[in-house]
Amino acid sequence: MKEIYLDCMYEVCPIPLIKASKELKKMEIGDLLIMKTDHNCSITNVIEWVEKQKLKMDYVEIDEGEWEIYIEKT
Amino acid sequence: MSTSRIEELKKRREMERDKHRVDVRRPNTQIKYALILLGILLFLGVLFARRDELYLWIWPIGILLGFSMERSRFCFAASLRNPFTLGTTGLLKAVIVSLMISSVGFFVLQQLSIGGETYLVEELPGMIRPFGIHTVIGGLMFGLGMVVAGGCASGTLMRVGEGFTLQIFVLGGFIMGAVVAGLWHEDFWRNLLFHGGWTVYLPDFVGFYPALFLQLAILGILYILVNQIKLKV
Repeated sequence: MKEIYLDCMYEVCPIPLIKASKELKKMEIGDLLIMKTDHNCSITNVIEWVEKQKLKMDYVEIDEGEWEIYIEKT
Repeated sequence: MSTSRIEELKKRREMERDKHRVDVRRPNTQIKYALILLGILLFLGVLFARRDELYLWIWPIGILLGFSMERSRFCFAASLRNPFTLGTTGLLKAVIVSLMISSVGFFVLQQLSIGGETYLVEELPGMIRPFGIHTVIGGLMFGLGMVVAGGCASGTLMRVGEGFTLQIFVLGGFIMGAVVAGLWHEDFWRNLLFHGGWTVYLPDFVGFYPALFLQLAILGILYILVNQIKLKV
């Protein structure tokens, strides 16, 4: 039941998701991943990818143009 | 989508953020910026319209295009990169659908512009240009560049407008490339690479309506293929 924080600020499109997928591979089932990004494309990418991988996620706009994405490894 | 544990985490993160936040965010803080932007847009619109009446049409289309691209997070770079890097094809399907729609649109535009019996392919709307080795070289360069820079022309412009800092530098690169290669050295590149190309215009070979049908059929088949394929990345 760990929580992992991944800072993806100022990274362009595929990098945040590639980082997240590497991190998710190392994680145990039930662990939570927190990603912070300012690239709006990342969110669409992550949503589509997470659905494909059958994981659970949600996101919040924490500031103008900055988002936190929460993914649970299931 | 979400689970109870994610909801719990969301609430806790929000509380932690509120503790550290110096200024409490007021609702609708962006109204002020929206009004300033609207003023600039109207000023530019009047300026453009005085130059050429055609801009009266291009101006609102450009604004709406930018708005819908920002809202839908549409990205040509991602549409062609994601199938290889992530195995997702949603954006690629959207691009294929948009190509189908614009095929019909250009068909109508070209029909309207032809009028008589004969036509010059180079003068039709839609920038029909010869293809050759320069198409391949340019495609490779553009493709590599857009994946490294994280966006093609429209995507970069859209994200610069949104405030994504990194791509302001990408925009600088765009402007340099367009000025140096496109404006100052245009003849050099044209003479080096552009000769010996072949202009292909489908209606020349099969007629207008069959060409439209053929193009839509090919795009439809591509859509079905992309939809069927299971990419494992």
